[in-house]
Amino acid sequence: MTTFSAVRSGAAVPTSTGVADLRMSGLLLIALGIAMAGLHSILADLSWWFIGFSVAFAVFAAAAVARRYLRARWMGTIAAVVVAIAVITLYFSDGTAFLGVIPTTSTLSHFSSLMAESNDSIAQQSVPAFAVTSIQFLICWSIALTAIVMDAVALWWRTPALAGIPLFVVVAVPSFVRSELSDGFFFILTAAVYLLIVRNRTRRVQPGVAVAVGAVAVVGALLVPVILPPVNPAVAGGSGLGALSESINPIINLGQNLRDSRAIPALSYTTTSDFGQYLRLTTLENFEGQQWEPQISKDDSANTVKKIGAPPGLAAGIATTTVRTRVQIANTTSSWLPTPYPSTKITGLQGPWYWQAGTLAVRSDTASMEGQKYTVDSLEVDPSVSQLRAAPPSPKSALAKVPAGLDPIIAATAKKVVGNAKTDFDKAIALQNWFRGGTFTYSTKTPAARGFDGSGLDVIVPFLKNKSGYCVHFATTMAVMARTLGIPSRIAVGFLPGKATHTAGAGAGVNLYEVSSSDLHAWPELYFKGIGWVRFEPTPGKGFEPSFSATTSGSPKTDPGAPANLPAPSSATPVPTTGPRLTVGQQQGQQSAVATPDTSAANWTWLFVLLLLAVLVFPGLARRSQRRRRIDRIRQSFYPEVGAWEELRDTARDLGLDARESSTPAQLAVYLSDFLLTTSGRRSADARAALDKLRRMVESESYDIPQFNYNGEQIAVALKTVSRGLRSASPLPNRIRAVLLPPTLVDLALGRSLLRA
Amino acid sequence: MKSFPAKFEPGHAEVTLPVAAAMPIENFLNLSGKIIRTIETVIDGKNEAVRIALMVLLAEGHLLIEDVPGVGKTMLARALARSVDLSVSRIQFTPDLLPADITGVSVFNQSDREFEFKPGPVFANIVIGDEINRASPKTQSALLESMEERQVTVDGKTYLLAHPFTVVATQNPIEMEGTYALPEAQRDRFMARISMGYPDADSEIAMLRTRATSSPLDALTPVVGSTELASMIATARGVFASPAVEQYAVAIAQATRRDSDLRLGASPRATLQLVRAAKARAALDGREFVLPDDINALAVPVFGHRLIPAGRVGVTVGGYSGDTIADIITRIIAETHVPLGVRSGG
Repeated sequence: MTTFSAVRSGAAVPTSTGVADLRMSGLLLIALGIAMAGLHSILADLSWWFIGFSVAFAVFAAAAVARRYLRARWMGTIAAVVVAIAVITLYFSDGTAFLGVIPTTSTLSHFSSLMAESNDSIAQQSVPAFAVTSIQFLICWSIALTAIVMDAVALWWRTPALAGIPLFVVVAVPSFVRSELSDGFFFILTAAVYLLIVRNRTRRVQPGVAVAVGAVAVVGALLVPVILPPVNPAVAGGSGLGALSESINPIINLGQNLRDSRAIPALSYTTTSDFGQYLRLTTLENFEGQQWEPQISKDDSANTVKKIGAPPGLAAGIATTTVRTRVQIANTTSSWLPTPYPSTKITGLQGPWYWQAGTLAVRSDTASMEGQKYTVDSLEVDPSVSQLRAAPPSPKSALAKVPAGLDPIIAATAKKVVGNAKTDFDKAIALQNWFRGGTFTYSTKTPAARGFDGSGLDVIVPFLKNKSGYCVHFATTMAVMARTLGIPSRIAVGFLPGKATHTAGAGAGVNLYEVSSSDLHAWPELYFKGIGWVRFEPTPGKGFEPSFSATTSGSPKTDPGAPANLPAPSSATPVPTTGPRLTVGQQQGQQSAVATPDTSAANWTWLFVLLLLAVLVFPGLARRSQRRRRIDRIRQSFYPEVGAWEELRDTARDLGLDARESSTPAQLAVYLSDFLLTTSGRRSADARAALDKLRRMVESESYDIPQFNYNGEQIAVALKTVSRGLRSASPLPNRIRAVLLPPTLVDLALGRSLLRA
Repeated sequence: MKSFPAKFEPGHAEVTLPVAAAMPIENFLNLSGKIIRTIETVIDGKNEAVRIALMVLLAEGHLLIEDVPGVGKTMLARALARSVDLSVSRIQFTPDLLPADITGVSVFNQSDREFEFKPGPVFANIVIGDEINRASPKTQSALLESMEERQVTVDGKTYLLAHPFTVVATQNPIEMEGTYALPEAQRDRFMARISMGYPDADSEIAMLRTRATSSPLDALTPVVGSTELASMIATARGVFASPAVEQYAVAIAQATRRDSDLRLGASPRATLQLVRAAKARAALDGREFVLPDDINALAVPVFGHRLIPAGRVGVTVGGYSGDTIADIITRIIAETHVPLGVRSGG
């Protein structure tokens, strides 16, 4: 009873507990790892788990090592916080940190933009979400925070049962999203490890705390689904963008990817251009039987992307501007790299990437674009209409060769459409306008329903009859028609510019675009001698037409019905504009209007933090209100001595002292008096005098024939004097714990009557 | 150690104290202090044992002193008797001791031509039973029954024993051959069991010095008269035990009955005697009310010899179960909540 030095937690840790502490750290790590695995129902693939687990491991390991060698429990928590910040900075600072691990102000702003992105990303994605970088960032810091809290309650405050609360928060995340998403298996597994944790260090208060934790869990499980916003339900479907990676020819599964209603974030980019960039994966220019195929040259290994060859056909005298685009690929895989055409230089790529002569498409045999982050310099070719009109025809080109066995109706249709157009350019524009002019409708479903889904030559005739299809049909048909007119053509496969989310870097004119799986696209490129390959956009309601067409007065492009520039790809309603100069502000407005139903979901992050905070603050507040109630009763002289003694005992226990209910008043008084003697001064002496007074009072009122000759006010004052003395004699960590997480919480959880039995 | 027939000491019979009134606690404290100081002139460094012995006397219980030979068990009993003006008798228990050797016999008086009762050594205020576990069970039970009933029946006639009546029995735990361990039912009749323990070095040196010349016991004179003693007993009995304290005593007793380490828990008589002893202890501290501290200080002496550990804890040899029982009781006390005030459930 009198060896209080041993129970003053926060003081030096005896070495004998070192192994038990390590075991506890290990158990906590396992429990958190399993609880995290339960998130698999809302997050796709597994990379996020390994990253999160590595953060948790770093936190627990740092805390354990610090505790072992610095011999103070609170040092462990400090170390855990420092290491958590360092690891997250290392993972996510993107080169902005000092020495990679020390965050700088630019790191912080980078982090805040990651936070914003993660909110957007959560709002945009449906479950299971793809763990893009920003979501990984969110996971990492949440797990780091959880691990720090678990470590602190279990190994600093020595109440491992309370580690169940943050653990529960993690396990419960899927049910926040939607109740049926929680995985019972991982819940049970986590619960089993939690029992091991509680069993590992059983203290008398533990069962009570466990009950309290259980109560919080039950109440939480009932309330949280009601309070939190619902999320987009997942649509059962294929494997999303993963399909890109399997095939060397990205056009094969394009239709299927477009029909998949899930908009999976594919990549994001910033560009110095005023317009969004068409990002091309590759171009298809060869026929292999009935199929368009990309040209793959075998001897391109010398063509490193540091300097990409000049765009074929581009002569001097054509206006060009250099545009810089930074691309961040999410979890899309492909051996082709999305780049604006024509690019001149790419930096920042991992692995061997080569550009192909002729097409300038960038590909790798071994590396994947997944997770890549790179900067592309590209040219924005801006030929004037007269230059285009002046381009001589080149019908002898290999790429103007009409595929063998082509239905003659296609050539006839082409001729009819172009009418009396003189130049190749005017013919191309005529074709483009014909497709976009309202005769054709965009649909991903019709081709599949009518049996011409695909990208071969055999789909052209049914498409012309049905006048409904998606980008592949428009691109293929326009390319083939152009060839029948003697214009060299090919099909580019890649991504639409996507939607502008916000302006990154005010005034810099650098716009951030998000590109998702529904932005997968195919478009025709036509060759004009002296200018090179020029992009056209025949698909109605998708992307925007090349800029020259909008600036030429008198050309057919001024048709006010021409649909253009729809950044929201899912919208089928054409918005008439005069060109691609949709301002960022407009785009933002549009985007927020579309995203409104989902923005509330972005608040999860904050709800997670708030929930954690509320759970952490609750015990301290409950204890405070109990204290206030008791002191009120003491003042009213309602068994004041008993109330005072109980409050004194609880105060001592909150401070980490061994004040048991099985101690008699005399024993407790001796013990506390010894403890007060560890400090000197007037406060300690006053406290001891008041303690003795209280002790005599409680003994004579409780055990003698009651005299009822007390003064509640005086007792309250004595109680305060003793409490103050005890507090000032306690080490700081104990005082903090007494405020935040009083050990007498168990009394509140169970009610005193049970303990008095 | 042949001391048969039992040795009688003078003035052993027919000492009955008049019914006495309680005295002020200050006087009580003064007198009890005198007694303790007197005893301590013969027993060095055994304050706790002395106090418990006096406490048992004042609480009208019986005391079992259990220890190895030569640590002063008999000396304590005799010093206690000497310092108070009471009659003392001593019985050396041997295997051939008969019940009549304790209670007394009726002998035929030739002159009066009738049977005359010759009271045995049990007719004294303080009866010292040396090595009680050496006697046969029949003889043991003769003494133990008189302890509880405070009367002796011989040849159909009932004779009341002296008042106060305290048996101080000693037993030797280490000699096992030829001993009859007291059954638990009989151990239950002793209010408390203490063991003397060896004196510390200083006390042993002091003892050598004082014993060199003469037996210090001879120098003892009674410091408290029998009237005063009766008054002291009444005072001790009048100490207030609050409901909270009673609740605490019962909680401890009940915990011993539930405890998985114990095969036999404390009897209700044990609880009763615990509270009685606690009252005497409170009075010896100069208090007129019992504190929980009295209860838990006495739990080991009062409960220790009554509890039987479950098989795996300790080994019970001759009724001596060593420290393990004390450990169990200490643990039970550490787990029992001390009630405050009279509020229930609060």
